[in-house]
Amino acid sequence: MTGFPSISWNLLLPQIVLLSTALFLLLLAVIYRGGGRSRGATVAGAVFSLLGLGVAAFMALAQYDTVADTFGAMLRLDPFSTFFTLLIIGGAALCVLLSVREAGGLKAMAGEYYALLIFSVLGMVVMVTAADLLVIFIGLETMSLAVYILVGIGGERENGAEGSLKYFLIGAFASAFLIYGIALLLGTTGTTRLDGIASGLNLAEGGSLQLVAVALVLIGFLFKIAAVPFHMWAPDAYEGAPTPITAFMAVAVKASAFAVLLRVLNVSLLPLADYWLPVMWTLAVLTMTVGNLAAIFQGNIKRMLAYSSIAHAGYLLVALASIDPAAAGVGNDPAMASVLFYLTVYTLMNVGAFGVLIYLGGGGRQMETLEQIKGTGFRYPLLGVAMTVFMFSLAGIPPTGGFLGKFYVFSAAVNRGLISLAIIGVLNSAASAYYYIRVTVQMYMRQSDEQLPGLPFSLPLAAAVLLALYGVFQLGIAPSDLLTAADRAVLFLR
Amino acid sequence: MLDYVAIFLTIIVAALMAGGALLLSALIGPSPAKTKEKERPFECGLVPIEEPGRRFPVHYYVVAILFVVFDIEVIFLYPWIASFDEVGLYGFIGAMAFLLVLTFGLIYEWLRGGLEWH
Repeated sequence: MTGFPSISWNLLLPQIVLLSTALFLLLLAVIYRGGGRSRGATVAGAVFSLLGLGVAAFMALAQYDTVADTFGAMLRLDPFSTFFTLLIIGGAALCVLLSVREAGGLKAMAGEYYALLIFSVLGMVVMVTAADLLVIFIGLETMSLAVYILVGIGGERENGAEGSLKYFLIGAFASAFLIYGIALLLGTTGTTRLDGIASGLNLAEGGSLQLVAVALVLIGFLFKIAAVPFHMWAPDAYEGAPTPITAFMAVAVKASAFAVLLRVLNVSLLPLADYWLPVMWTLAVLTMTVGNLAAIFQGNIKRMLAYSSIAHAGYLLVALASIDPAAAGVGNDPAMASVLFYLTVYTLMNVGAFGVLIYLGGGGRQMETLEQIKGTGFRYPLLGVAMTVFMFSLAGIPPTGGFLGKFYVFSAAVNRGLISLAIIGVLNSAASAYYYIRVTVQMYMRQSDEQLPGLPFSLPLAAAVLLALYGVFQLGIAPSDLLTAADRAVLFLR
Repeated sequence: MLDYVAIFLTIIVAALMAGGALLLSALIGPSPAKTKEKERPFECGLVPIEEPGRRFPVHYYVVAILFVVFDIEVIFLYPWIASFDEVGLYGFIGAMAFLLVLTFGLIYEWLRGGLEWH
């Protein structure tokens, strides 16, 4: 007889709450389906999702200062993981608010929609708390499988199945890269633990095989953040998905993948910094440039935001290329903190932009292309102003959070002497202003060809847009609280 | 690197044996007459009864997924039973939690109509 292993279950409360919520939502889905009350399923699903996310966020907040290992040190709880847990839950909650109308249109699948959303949040939270590559892999798969289905859910949208299948095939391919890399790392360093890998890395002995392993692992993650040249799936998946899921993929999936990337690069792969820093430099330039250039030519706003999301991954890679390996153990690294700040701002402004787009589509008239949104600015003044703010923020114009996010990222690059990288970034940012501001121009300076219908008021959508609007200004004017939290969080990475 | 030499040798020997057998029988074996009977798909030496590639109901995929779920369940339950005395109460609770999560899946499947044939 062995006794109970000492697992601090209380540290896992956010995950447990999320799992219970998802299972409960699954039951709720079939119960409501039996009664044929699809509207009830939508509302109940949204309410219980928000409740579950809220309780999980509260649990995470309560352990904000905790630094502990649990589950045989497979999971690690520190302010870094808690920061991302809260960011992901917050982003997911905003997406639930955006979903109420969209999920109602799914009818039979409305209940499953929320259950899958919460399952993928659970996977993300496991990912960001993982201290072992295999646990990261489990979290990543939990997240991905749910999102693959969400992209194609309903089956009535034109490109849903196409986007879903492309995302699934390429995602499965990327997972194979990742697991192969993990296997090679296990073979050459003797462990899959993140902190063990750092001490096991020995180029003199392991040689090129270790570099291959590291490359494979990084490719696995770079697929998830849609870095060029691993971005081919993103535009189709983003366009095919229901709009709230597009927002969810752009913010939450990206945030969790960047969290894992930051942790793996800093905890496990710092001894190889000389090898991966130039790689990040190149990928940053490629990702920014390709994302922005392609976005300029998009007529569909969802697709434009998909390419813009690729470009933003490029700005974030600038920060990763500016990580200072010498700062380990000395103090905090502004490059890493800027990633956390940027991701938070990006979550808010992106959810806001998608929220306005969904709101505009509520009048029974499709509002997806630049043609269709002509003249909407004066017809719907509040939405026009909100969209303008989000577009300015995405383009990086003060006094919005988007400006400060870019400022911190590029100044981190300048601090590390990467002047050319910063210049390329700023030029890209200037080019991106063209297609962001074009949205505003279409909304205000063009006349609509037909009569624009009135839009029904939607409380959850309005709440999400207003919250995002508040956040974008709050972070643009008084960013210090978030910066302090980000600075503190990254201290625990090394 | 020396550790892998044996593996490479195995691969080479295997390729030589398979390729060699084919090559030798082609070179020195009697060349068979190409009759219609010889061209037919080989089905245990019998004359094929029906065409392969029949259609089958798409329902099978639901049953197949159910099978995978319960198969995995059994795979995890066997080691638990084999080590029942060692893992004790903790193992029992763990296995029950595992079964509980699976039961949710079964209930979902059942209520959703996955077990109905039509």
